[in-house]
Amino acid sequence: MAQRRRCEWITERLHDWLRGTLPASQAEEVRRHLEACASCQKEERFLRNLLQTARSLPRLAPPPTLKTAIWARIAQAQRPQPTQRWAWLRPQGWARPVLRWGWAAGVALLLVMAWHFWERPRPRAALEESAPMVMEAAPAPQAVEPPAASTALPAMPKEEKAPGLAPPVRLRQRPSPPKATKTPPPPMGAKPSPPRLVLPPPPMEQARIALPPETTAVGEAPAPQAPPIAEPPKAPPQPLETLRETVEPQPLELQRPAAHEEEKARPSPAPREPEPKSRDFLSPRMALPMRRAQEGVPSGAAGMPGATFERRLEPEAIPELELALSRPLRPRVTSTLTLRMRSLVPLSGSLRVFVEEPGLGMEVVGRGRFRALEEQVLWEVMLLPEGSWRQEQLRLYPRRDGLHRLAIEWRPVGREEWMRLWTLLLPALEERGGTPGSYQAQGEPLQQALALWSQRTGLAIALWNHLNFPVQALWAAEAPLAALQQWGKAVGLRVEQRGFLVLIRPMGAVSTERSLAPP
Amino acid sequence: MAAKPDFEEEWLLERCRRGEREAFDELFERYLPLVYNLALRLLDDPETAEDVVQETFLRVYQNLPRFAGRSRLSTWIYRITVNLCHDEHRRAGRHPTPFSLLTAAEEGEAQEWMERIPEEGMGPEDQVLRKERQRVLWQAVQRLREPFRTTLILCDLEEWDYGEVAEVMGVAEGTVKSRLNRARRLLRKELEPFRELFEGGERPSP
Repeated sequence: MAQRRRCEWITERLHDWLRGTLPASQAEEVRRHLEACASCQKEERFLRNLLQTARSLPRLAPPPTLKTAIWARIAQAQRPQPTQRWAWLRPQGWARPVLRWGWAAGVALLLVMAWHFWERPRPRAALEESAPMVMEAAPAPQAVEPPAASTALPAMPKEEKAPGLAPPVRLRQRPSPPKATKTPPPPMGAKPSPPRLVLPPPPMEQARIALPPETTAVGEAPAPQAPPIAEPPKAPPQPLETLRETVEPQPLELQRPAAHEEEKARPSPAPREPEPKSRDFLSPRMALPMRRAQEGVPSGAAGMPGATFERRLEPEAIPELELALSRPLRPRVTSTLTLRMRSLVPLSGSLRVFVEEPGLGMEVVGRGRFRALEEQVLWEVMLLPEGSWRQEQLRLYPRRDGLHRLAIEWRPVGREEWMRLWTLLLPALEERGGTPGSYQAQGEPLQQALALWSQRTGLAIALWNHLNFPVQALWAAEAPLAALQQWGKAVGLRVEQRGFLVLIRPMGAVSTERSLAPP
Repeated sequence: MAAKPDFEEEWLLERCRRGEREAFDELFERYLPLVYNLALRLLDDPETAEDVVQETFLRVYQNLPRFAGRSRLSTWIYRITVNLCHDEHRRAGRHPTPFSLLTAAEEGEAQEWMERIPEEGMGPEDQVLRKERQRVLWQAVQRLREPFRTTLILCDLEEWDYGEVAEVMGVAEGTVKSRLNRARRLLRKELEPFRELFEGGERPSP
C-alpha cells in the first residue's frame, strides 16, 4: 500500500522530472525510486516518449505572404468604410422597410398619376367624341414606359463610373488635412503609392505625426505620375474627377508577396529638401572630428553658470515649446541629458542651447527646421575643459519616414586642444584599464583592443553616426551598422542604433552613466 | 510576472509607439513565427490560424500605444492570440478537419520553421513510429475539451512555465496546475489504447 502511494507520488512528479523543472531534492528522490521500481520505469518510458513526440511536433514557417497580408489588413482596418460617406442618407431602423416599400408605393403612385394625367384630357374628348375613344385609351399604360425605360438609364452612368469606382475609395484615404499645408511634400513624391495600402499611423500618433507615403505603401505600382499626395501642399483641393485621373487605375495587387521586399530593397530616396551641408554631415567620412580639427574653428563661447536653455524663436514658429533637462548636469566628462521638445504645431525655427559649467564648458547650438510635433532627443553631452570644443551644431538628420532627427556635430577646436583633452583623460582612462591604444600596443588588433578596453573600463562608447568620441573609435563610424553589429557580437559588444545614435556597449549590464571624473 | 528589462525590446516598443513602420515590421518579424505556430497548434487549421495571426497583429498595431508594459510584450501578444483562438474555437465548434497541422507538415506545403529533434541515426522504422506517435498524440490532444486542451498545449507542448500560462490565460497559477493535472489525466485516458505504441523503445533522450 505504501509502495503504491509512493509510486503515485513519483508519477505525479515524472513530468516535471523529465522537463528538468523538479526541485533538486525531489529529483534525486525520483531518480532513486526509478532505479528500483519497474512499473515506474515503464511509466517513465511512456512519458518520455510522449514528451519526445510532443517536442517533435512540427513547427511551420509562416507563409511568406502573411506579413504583407497583415499590413494589408491594417491598412484596410484604418480605411473608412466606403459606405460611410452617404450613410446618413440611408434609412435606419424602422424607416428601412417603410422606405423600401415606399419605393414600390412611389412607382405605383407614379403609374396611377400617369394614368390619371393621361386620362384627364380624355373625359373632355370623350364628351366631344364617341365612346370608342375610351377604348383607344387602352394603350395608355404605354405612357408609363418612358419611366420604365428611364429606370434602365442608371445602368449607363454606372458603366461610365465603373472605372472611377476605386479612386474615390483611395481619395478618402488621403483627405488632405489642413496640416498638410504646413508639411512639405514628402521625398517620395515621384512614386505613387496605391492608397489602398495607405498605412496610417497608430491611433495615438495619428494626430501628431504625419507619416509620408513612402512609409505607408506596402506595394508599389510602377505608374510614374505623381499621386495626389505629392501635390504642392497649398494647392487648392482638386475636383474629384481630375484627382481620379491622377490616380492610376491599375488594380491593386495587395497580396503580391514580393512587394514589401521590393520596397525594402529600394534604396532610400534622396530627401527633397536641399541640404548641401547636412549631406556631408550625414556622411560619416566627412564628419570625422579629427579632420575637422585640422581646419580649426575660431573660439568664443560665452560662459554662463549652470545649464541654461535659451529660447530664440523665429517668427512663424513654436508657440509652445517645452524644453526639459532630464537632470541637472554635473561637472563630469560625459553627461547624458534628454531634451524633450513638445509642441502643438510642426516646429520650424532655430534652437540654441547653452550648456555651460564654470571651468568645464561647451556650447551646443541647435539650428534647423523641425517637423515633428514631439521629439525626444537624447544627447550625450561631453562636458569638456572650456575652450576645447566649439559650437556643436544641431542639424537635421533626414530619415526615411520623414521625421527629422537631430544630430549633433562636434568640433574640436584644434589639434592642440585634442591633445590637451587626451592628456587630461589619459590618466583617468589608464587608471581604469588602459586605453585602447595600450591594448593595441600589446599587439591586439584595433577592434579587439577597443573591445578589451571597453570591457575593462566598463565605459560605454557613444557614437553618433558621424561620430565624435574617442579617437580610436573613429573607424567605427565608417562601418555600416550591420557590420558593426557583427563585429560587436564577435567581440562581446552590443551595438545598437537609437535613432541617430549608435551605442556600443559591453554585453553585460554596464551603465552608460558611468563616466570619468576629470582628474 | 515581473517584466524583465529588455533594452532591445523597450527600444523597439518606443519606436513602435512613435509609429515607425520599420519598427512594427521588426516586431512582426520577431513574433510572426511564434504567434503563427501557437495559433496553428491551438486551432489546427492553417487558414484560420492565418486569420488569427492577422487579427492579432492588427490589434497589436492598434493597441500598442496603450500597452503599458506591465507584462512582457510577448505575454501580451500571446494573450491576444490565445483569446482570438478561443473565440474562433467557440465559433467553429469542434474542428471539422483534424490533423491538418501534421498533414500540412507532411505534404511539405509549408517549410518547417524549426528543426525537429535531430533524426540522425533514426532508421525508417523509427521514423514511421515517430509519425504514428505524432498522429496519435495530436489526435488525442485535439479531443480534449477546453480549457484542458489549451492548458496542455501551452504547458506540455509549448513548454511555457506555469506563470506565463497563467498570465496568458488570465487565471491563477494554481488553476493552471490543477487544470494541467486534469488535462494530463484526460490525455492519458485517451492514449490508453495506444499505450504500447509509446512504451516501445525509441532511443532514450539525452
